[in-house]
Amino acid sequence: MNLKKVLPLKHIVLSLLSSALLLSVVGILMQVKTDMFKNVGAIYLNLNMQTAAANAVTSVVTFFRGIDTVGEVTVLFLATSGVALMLSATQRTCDKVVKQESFVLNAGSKLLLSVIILFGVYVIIHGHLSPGGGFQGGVVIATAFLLLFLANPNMKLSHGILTLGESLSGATYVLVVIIGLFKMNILLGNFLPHPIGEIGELISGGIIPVVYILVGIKVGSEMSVIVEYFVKEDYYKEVCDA
Amino acid sequence: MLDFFNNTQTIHMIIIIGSMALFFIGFYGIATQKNLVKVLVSFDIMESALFLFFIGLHYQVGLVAPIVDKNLKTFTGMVDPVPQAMILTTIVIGLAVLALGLSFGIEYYKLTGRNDISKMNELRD
Repeated sequence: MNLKKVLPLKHIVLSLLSSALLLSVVGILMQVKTDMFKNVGAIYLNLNMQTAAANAVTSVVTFFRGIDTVGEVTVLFLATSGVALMLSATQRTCDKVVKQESFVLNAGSKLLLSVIILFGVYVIIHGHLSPGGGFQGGVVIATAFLLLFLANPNMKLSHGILTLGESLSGATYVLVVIIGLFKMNILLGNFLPHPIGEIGELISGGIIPVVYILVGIKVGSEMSVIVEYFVKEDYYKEVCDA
Repeated sequence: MLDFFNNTQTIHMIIIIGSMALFFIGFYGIATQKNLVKVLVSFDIMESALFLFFIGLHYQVGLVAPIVDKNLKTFTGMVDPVPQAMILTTIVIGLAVLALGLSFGIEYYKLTGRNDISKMNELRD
């Protein structure tokens, strides 16, 4: 067995270089004291009673740093458009249908679909009370569609409905940001009446649950489109050539 | 034995060494692999190392997650929520970049039949 072929000299040199860099970076990072970053978090935690959301991470994401989230949603939208543009340009489509093999697989996936979507909706609407939120719940909803694609290869999503949901939720999110500017004089102002009842109830937090529900719809539809394009890439290649 | 780990300094040291080792595993993958998909997966490993690093370095022994509930009525004694929120943003951006990069890779493979990054010289001609 030739050692040079299994482990070329270049790989040995690069692994030694990586190890040296690792040791130096770890050496530098060991000097860092975490006390120096405490201020911003303490201020946000003190202000958090005003937003009336039980989850402080959610109020940082959607309220204190809410404009960052608008940019993040825009980046996700652009990436989805890029994936759709790239993969649809050369994706061969054909009308052939694969024979569905198993009845149990088909029925079981449809049964699980509703449960997974229900769990995703639960994660989205409890985003201001528990760990979770729009992004996580949206991805959970997309996994439901992934299960459907894996169980039934002939499945097709309605792109009209997905585009409608995505566009409407994105436009409403921007509208919420601008209404905040007019009513509260800051972008993304919390214009809904927010200390309703006790902190930790489902209807509390002003615009924070509204924003997370819109983000959830948007992320769910975008992730479903990405999943569909990547799954169909393999499917059409096998079906159309056969 | 377990008291040794119940110490903020020790936990931070373990997190720094572990996450940076993971980071340089990803670095090694980018430097040595020639398959386009493997390079993108190495990028994702490096990203995961940074997530672990930022979240882990802001954990302190004795502080709880920044969520109030029935037993905990005020926002005191909690970890810093800002790095968690920022890493949430970064995870979504990383996912978007990975999806876009993989779609570019698939398209390149379909057009040329290759996925070797050392032979990508179409722009030279």
